[in-house]
Amino acid sequence: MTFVFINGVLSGRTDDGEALEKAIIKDRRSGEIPQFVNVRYKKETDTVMINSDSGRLTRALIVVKNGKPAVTKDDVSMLIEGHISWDDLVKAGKIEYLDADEEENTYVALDESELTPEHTHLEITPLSIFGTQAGMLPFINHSNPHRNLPGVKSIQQGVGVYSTNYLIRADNESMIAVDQQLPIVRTRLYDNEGIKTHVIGQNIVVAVVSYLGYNMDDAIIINKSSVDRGLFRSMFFRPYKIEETKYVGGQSDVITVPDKDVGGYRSEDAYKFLDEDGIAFPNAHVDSGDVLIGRVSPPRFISSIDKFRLGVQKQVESSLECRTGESGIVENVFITSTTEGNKYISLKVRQERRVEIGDKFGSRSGQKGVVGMILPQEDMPFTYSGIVPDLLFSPYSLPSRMSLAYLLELIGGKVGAMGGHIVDGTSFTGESEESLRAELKSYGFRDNGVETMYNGITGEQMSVRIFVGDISYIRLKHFVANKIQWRARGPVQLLNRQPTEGKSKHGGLRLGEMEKDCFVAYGAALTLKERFDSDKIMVPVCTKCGMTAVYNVKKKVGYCPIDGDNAPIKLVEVSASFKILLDELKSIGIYPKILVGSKV
Amino acid sequence: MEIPKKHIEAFKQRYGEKADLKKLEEIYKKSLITPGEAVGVIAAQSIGEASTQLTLKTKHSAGLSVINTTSGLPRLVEIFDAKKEIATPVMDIYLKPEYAKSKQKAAEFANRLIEIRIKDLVSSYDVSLRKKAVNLVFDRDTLKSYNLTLRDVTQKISAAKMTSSIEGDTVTISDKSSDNVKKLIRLRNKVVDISISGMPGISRAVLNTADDGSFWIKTVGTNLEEVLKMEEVEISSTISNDIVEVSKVLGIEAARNLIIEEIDNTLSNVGLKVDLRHMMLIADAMCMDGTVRGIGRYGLSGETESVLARASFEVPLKHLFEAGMYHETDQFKYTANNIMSNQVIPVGTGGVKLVVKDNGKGNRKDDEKKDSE
Repeated sequence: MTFVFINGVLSGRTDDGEALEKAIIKDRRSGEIPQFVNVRYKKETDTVMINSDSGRLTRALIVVKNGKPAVTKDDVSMLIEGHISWDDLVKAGKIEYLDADEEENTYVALDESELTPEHTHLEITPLSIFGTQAGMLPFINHSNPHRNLPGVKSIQQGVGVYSTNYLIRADNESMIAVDQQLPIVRTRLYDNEGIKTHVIGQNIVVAVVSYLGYNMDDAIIINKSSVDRGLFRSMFFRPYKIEETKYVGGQSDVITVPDKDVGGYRSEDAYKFLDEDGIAFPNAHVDSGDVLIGRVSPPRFISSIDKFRLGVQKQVESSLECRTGESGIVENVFITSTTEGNKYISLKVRQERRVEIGDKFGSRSGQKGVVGMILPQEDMPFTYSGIVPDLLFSPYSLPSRMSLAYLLELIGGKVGAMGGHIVDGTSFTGESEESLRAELKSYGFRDNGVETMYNGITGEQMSVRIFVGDISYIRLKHFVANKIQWRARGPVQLLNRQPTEGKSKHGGLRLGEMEKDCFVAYGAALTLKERFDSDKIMVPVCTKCGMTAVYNVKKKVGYCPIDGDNAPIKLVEVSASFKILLDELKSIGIYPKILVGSKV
Repeated sequence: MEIPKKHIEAFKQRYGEKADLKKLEEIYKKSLITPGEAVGVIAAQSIGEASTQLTLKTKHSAGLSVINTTSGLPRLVEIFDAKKEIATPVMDIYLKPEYAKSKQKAAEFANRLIEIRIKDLVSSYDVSLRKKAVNLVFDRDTLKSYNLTLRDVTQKISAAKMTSSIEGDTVTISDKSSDNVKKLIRLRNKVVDISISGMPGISRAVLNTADDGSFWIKTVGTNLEEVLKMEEVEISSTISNDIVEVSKVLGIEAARNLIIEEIDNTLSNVGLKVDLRHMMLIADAMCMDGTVRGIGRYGLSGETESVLARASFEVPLKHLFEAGMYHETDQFKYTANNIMSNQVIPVGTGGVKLVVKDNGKGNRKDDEKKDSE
């Protein structure tokens, strides 16, 4: 007796599970059952699992009968000519979708040549074992599999055209490459229309050479003149969103140019880009600190008595300003309303981002790196024919990683650029290394891709020949401009007077517990104290009771809340956080008495 | 400068009687730690850095006849916490020459060490609620292999103040006061654990051969005090790896040496090299008040003089409330509390104090009056 589970629920039983499996598959191929119903007879547990629910991953395979694929050459040519469609093949039972469960009972051939009578299915193309993302990487059957993962990552993070309607979108941080190119070395997957309209990367000339030490350890050197001509230039869009909130009691925010008597008024200069409606006009060249959308809000708390007596409550400034460290041009402004009926404004600022030192670049073979130097063309090495590379890649990145796809793509790109055609770099089925070498030789190059090069600074011929070629490089979304942070002096936290934390608050970098231990281990006691001096304060202490007193430093008078006016008061230098500790001890009922002695 | 005698002796032994003692003085001065050096922090960093490379997993050699001891990070934690019950207590027993040379004698001794309990001898046992008794069925072959008779067993049982009777292979222990199953089962567990022969606490003993062909014994479980009383044992080299036990039996100096040795062994087993003096410092700190104290909340860190230093380590409220109740005073002499209050720490350059001022007045108490004049 075989139990039958439909979508994981015990639903019936049958005498012959194998026959049921065969019958369902037969009916599905003939079109009587929907194409996404999958069935599996499990021998070990003697159960039949039928799955028809949503969310299962399925993949398409060609049905094989008696060692012959159901899709014939005629079918393929009909498909190419457009007489039949993919769906027709599926309906005819020649191609079917399998899920993870049904896959267990199949025997799939990767290639038509390896078909035997035992095979049940045939892979549509060997490329499909990679999936859509890894399928975009050229020659990855030559690379170490561990290198293909960062290769996929580079494609995911590439700056290109992520969406064709990017101008009217308001994504939080978006980047668009000014110029994009499809790679010279492509895989079959690039024939897909979706990829053709969402292009990333540019084809550039790369020399594999160690130069001046600025491209060691995965760093790269980029030609400054290429950058000047627009290489890898991108646009960065930052949307600013603000709402005109209505509060309980009839009060409301007002989006406008703030009046001078509003609390927290900046300066007239800060509001210079605002139109009469309180929003910066399109094409305004804004800089960090400039107000983009002016807004005044009702005061959040009822403030001190004298303000209360005046009767009129002061409105508070709550404008939106351009982020610190960012600038740009106001691209567009959208005015709409939220579901609550509040006025809602979205303003987008566009900034041009040239390539600078610290920006991240990657190829499609997992060789990613950071710009270490932007070198003028005059100082770059050049080949005997006068070609100056756009990018210098360190040869030391190759032997340990064995990403040979990088080298093959370099040769393939060179061949494609010389011959004026696209090179098929599809894994397993693409062009072979031998044919690429032969073609390169026919253009008058050495077949291994090396060329004689000259030092750009001294003009001397390099003692070894350098491997030069064309490759598609991708600018990755990690721009230094978004990440760089520094501080000498800056804002402190209200409670403990220590420096703020985080880039957006212009914060400092924490000297942590273990770093502190290092100062102690060195015996650098005074340096250590200086590092922690950021929150030092002078606390007046009554030497009689040992509690914090009140003291006016200018008038040199003070009193102790316990011992009165004539209490002996001394000023003690401690950190503000220590004073908080003492206050907290008092709050839980512990009396922290400070005994003050003479220091010298 | 006075140089300890042992160094002078060692120097002369190495370089001859006429060796230049000034040279020795130079070396001695160089090797002294500078006053104010933060030796504790450096020791902690030196061992801490190395132990980041230790894996949490222990290599296990299950199924091998080799005795498996805790190693790596778990062992290190055990040592520093001065655990009373360690995971794998092990003893290395060395024998006097007449026993160490003969394999038969050594093996005989090793077999005598292993503790045999009643549960190792019985083939089955049960409790009878009707008879209010525990029945133990003994296996004759097992008894024979240990050279024991049922009479030996009953003797041991009566020594534990229980009445027993023999009937064939069965020994019955009756207890009229046990009127429910719970009590009977408690009695059964007690009886089964009675030790018949061997050394209590030792469950296994493995014979090992040293490089010179002599035999020594490694045991699982320790009982150092009793083993050292045995005449076959070479007292000077027999040792246990249980630090607390060693400190009780052999004294605090032995425990200190054992701590150093065990830290060094666990680190060098995984190929890490840490200077021995760091471990010596930690061992000294752990043993300085005569008993072995662990490093941690219930040991060194929990017993620091300074309230704030203690509070900044673990469970701050407990320490602060206690300090409030017992009117404790913090002298601000340590590193932690001085950093908390943003003062100069008394370490390194902060350890230097001004004694005489510009005007010739000193920093002593009776000078203070002159200062205010």
